[in-house]
Amino acid sequence: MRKHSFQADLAEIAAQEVKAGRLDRRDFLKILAAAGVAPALGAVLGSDPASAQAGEIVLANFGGDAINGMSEAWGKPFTADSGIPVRVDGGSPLAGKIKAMVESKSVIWDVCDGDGFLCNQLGNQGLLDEVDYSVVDKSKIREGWAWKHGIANYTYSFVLAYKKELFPDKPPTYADFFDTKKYPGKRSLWKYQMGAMEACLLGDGVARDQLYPADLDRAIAKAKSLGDDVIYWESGAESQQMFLDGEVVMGNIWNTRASILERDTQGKVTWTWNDGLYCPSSFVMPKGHPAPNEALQKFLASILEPDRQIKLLSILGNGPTNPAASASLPPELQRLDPGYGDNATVQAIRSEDWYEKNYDAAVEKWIDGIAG
Amino acid sequence: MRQPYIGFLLPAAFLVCGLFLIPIGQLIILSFDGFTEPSLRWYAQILETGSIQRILWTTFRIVTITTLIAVLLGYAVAFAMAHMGPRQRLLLLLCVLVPFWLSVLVRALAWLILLRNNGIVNETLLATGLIGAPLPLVRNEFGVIIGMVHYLVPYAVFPIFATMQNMDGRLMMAARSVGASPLRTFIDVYLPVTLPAVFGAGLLVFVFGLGFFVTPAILGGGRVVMLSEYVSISVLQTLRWGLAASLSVVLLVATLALLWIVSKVVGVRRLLGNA
Repeated sequence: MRKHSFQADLAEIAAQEVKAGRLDRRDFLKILAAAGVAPALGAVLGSDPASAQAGEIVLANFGGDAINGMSEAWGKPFTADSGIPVRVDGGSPLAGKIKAMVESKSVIWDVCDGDGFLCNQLGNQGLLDEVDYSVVDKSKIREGWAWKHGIANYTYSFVLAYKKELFPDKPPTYADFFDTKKYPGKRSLWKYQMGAMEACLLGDGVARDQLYPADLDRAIAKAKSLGDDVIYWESGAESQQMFLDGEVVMGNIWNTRASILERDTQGKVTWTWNDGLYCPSSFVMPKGHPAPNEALQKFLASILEPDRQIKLLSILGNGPTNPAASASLPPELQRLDPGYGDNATVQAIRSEDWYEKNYDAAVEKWIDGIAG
Repeated sequence: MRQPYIGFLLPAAFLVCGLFLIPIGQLIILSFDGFTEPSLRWYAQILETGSIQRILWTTFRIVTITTLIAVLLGYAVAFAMAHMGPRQRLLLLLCVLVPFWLSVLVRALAWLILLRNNGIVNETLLATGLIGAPLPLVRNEFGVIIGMVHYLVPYAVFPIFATMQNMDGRLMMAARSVGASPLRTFIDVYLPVTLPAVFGAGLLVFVFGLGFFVTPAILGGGRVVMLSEYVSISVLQTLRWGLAASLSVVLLVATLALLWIVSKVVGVRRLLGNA
């Protein structure tokens, strides 16, 4: 299975952490155990062979490190409070799979991880349960990220990562990104439109707060102006490898990968939050889920606790969606949180509304545009 | 007349029906939007959308070039293999087979390491001063063709080699005995006898090439999108299963048409190994 989303990318970081000795081998075995047989098998089969047991919540995400991360940060504390076990299943709950499960009335997941705009997109098709805001405290979610059919669970960003030696004094802008004469070398963008389109528009002079409704044709023309100087990355690992191999000098990549790059290259590759694209991920409840609905509502309420969101940031590098959590970060995590103070104010915020209505058509048009 | 062996075919026939023909039938139905409200809208979309036609054209162009190169190289390798001593033949066979066993992903990544701007080939050429700037060898169509040819050459070698090895050597001797030059013997005797195998190999390579996915995705730098990758995006990402199905049907029909044309030219019996 290829990695078609940021959520999926979290899976890959785990194995590397083990290899580098930063994740305890015993913890890694726990991750494998949690995934059933092995994460890879889980990805192939689509889910754990075992279906939901009575009295437990099955949380579906994209596997790997995120299985352990979400289990530690959200599952265990919830179980301690409520007595309800939470099992994390790395079965990659892509929109298509959720749709197929709900329509065939064989739902095995209770809570699914996905991009924020999926809440409305799938919710409007009648595929999701509604969030009960008498249980979930709306004030603990950043404004605009509490939807009818889901809540923002964590955040991530598309950021401009670059080689420090090229920009020793100040970080590049997207104007520099497209100036191949002044800064020779290849650049990289995500193949699947998101983040890349915004980078192109910013590089073409569109203001940060004027990105949406997006002029996709203008973005594609700008991307094509790079000619042979652009390499499109597909998986997060690939975006990281291109920097390590010296294939690219700048890239629009996920913040989780950028911070790993900075750590692994001792700062030779770094990133700027400036003109990044700040995005919410979300939890949704597919209609017909096995666990009782009240338990899920309580679980959703619990993931907004600041200490649990901070724990997730420290394990996975994903930012909190509760502003109170960002406000109380220890100093070493402040640079990593896309939503912390100035990190957030210098970024554009992804329009969930635009993506809800346009993503499918946009990614198609984008692929068509950049191909050939 | 009784056919006692027909029973042995049943398991295979059952497998082919269950795992191949029925899903293909479903795919075809899906491409017409099902039984309840059949429509041709996905086919209309293929006809109307310039970008899809560009992807089809890119696929066709890359696969054609790949096939020509792979068959040419394959013919040369098979020729050498058929006419060298047994020990060298074993060695050459190994050289063809070992990469054949490597995963397509590993091979694509290996080419990437060799051919990218700061890869071994470009660094060496730059160091010797032969070139002033790195040659664009990969992350483009050129790289895709290199990767695909490398993958597909063995598929061209084996059918051609089989024919060359089974060929009656006395044919050439007869030609030489009546005064034909070696070149003349090759053109008038050797080549016509091996030509059906060449077409067969070309067909095999072409059909395989149409379905290539990993190699273009890695070596094309994201800008060389071929048909199967587009189908995968339509299934997994944009959820246009109808479009994916209709593109698959177009591919299937094109392949069958090609098979038919080649069989008209060569004769289907010879093509399928009775050469």
